[in-house]
Amino acid sequence: MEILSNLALGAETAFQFDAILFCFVGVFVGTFVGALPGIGPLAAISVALPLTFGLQPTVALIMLAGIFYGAQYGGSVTSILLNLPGTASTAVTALDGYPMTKRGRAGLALFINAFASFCGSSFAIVLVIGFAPLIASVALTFNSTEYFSVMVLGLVAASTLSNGSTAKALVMTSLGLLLGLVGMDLNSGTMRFTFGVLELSDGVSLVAVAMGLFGVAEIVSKMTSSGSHAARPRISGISMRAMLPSREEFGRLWAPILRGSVLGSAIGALPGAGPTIASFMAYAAEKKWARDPGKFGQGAVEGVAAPEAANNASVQSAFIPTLSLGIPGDVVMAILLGAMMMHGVVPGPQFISSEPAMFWGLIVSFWIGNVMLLVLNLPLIGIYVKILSVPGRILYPAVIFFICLGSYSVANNVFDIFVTLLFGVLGYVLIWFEYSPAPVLLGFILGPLMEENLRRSLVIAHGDPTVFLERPVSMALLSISLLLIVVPAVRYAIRRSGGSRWRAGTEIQESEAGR
Amino acid sequence: MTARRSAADIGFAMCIVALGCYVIYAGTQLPVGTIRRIGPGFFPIGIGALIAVLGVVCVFDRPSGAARDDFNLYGLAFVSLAILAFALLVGSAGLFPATAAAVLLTNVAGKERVSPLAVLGTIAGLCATGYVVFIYALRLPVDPFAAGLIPGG
Repeated sequence: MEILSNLALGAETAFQFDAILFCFVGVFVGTFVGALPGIGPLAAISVALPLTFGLQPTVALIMLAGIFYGAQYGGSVTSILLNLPGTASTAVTALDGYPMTKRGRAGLALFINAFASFCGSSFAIVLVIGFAPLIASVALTFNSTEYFSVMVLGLVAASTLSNGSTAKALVMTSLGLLLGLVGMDLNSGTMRFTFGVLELSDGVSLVAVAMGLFGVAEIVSKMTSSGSHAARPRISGISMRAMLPSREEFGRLWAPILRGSVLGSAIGALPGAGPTIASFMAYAAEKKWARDPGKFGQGAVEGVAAPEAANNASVQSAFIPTLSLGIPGDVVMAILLGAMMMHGVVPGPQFISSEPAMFWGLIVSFWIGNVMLLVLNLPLIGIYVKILSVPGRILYPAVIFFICLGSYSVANNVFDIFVTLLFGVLGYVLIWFEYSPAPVLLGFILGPLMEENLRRSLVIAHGDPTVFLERPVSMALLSISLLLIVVPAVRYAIRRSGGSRWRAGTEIQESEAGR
Repeated sequence: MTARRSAADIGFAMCIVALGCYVIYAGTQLPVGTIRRIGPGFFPIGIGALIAVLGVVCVFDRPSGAARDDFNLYGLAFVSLAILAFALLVGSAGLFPATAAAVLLTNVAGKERVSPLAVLGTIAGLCATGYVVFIYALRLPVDPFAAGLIPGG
């Protein structure tokens, strides 16, 4: 019954007025940015990060996490109503959600979205409660050698499982590792890559990097690809009655929701495979399971339920490696981890035992946030649709304003605004050359930790680098990392020599991941 | 079109290789230490090598073939100017002038047709938000309008 007392402790934290208030702010902002095709949860969390400096660390994390999972709800609403996925992870929802809207069943689709999302999240939260402390207790027996290898695996998995070119993703990861080195080396006091700039001796600011790469760069690319603002269908009021499924439909929902939840939770806990892959895989699996696959794409309820359960489940289970190992599985988790560090919380396996109120408070807040989303979302759908029509000419200046002032506020220093600008330009160039900048942040967070653990391992092993292969856990982790790189490369080579002109398009990658 | 793009892609990948080589060089300028006690230069050399090798792979990596927008130099330039203007003005002239400059320049960057009223409204709204959230609530040491012309805020 230890779990019950832990949950009670969490409830004590999460039901404080501040916590509830900022949980609400988080999920509300999350739903909002999730619904906006312009900015995603990544940009929103980056921009919100400096705003949380005045808050208690726990409350700050509750709010930032709320933005992340709230965005999954918001993105689906626009996928269903407008065929405009607000975030990539909800794109697949549009496949069956939008046809439902066209057939006049938008209300039902929205209800399924909210309900499946809630079930998926709840399922994954239970898993976090079960697994995070368990993994943390195992990880406590790790020493620096295993740690180094876990990080290698985390970075490699994040680079290879994401969409697009593996080589490019690995370059971005390495670039992040490099950026993490900037500043004074804590062991020797040597300045590295500071180019004599005093402000860089503490390293590059996480907020500036994140806001530049994901905020500024994103806005410039959105300005380029115009046209998404054209022709919005009008959504008339949706009555509560239209939302509720019939008994027969309700019966058909359970299995897809459950399958989506399981799949999503498993994928979310893996490093690198985030909500986008989870939702695509759940959809593909549902299609395979169905007796009548032909109905998919025509407004099948299963096609909305399974991916929605999956993407929300994956978002929650992504917290497992982050909270139990201190190793972020994706960029959003990297930013949250960075936020923890900025608030003076040391992430790692000792986090759960040393900060129980924070860990359990965060977990309970997930549930509160999801209940809020469930309760709020249905009546607020009309408002979200209205918010969606905020034109770029107001939205973009507002985001630029928050980026500028946000990066200034980190250290009350204009220097960070220049850094943000630099990374904004770099980010746009990278996006244009199809180098997704997301892994940069993972490397950036893990770089200093990797160097430290490498150094320690070598000291302990008296300079013998084979120590990484001698310790069994470390050996296993490194082998998996190697497989992740080699297997797709070999497959690619075989395909190419087989003469089939294979393009690394997203869909092929997704179905590839589905096997 | 495709040829020009792939030339640019190869050029960019070459830049990555060059970056990797530079990082290796910079690493060798730092104390490398021994394998038993690695120095501050050890890890950078490793990363530099990694970047250089991966850069070479990227030279041969084919682009996805997805349609790409033209490089939006105009938008990038004006968004950059907006941020630059904000950075330069926030200390010397104050938050409100800096906000106004950033909003105006971002609108120029967006190339959308904007009514003057909408611009004024956005500026007013953001100034108010900035005042309430950042100056009043977060106690940021900036003034709405700078008292004197003291640079550096």
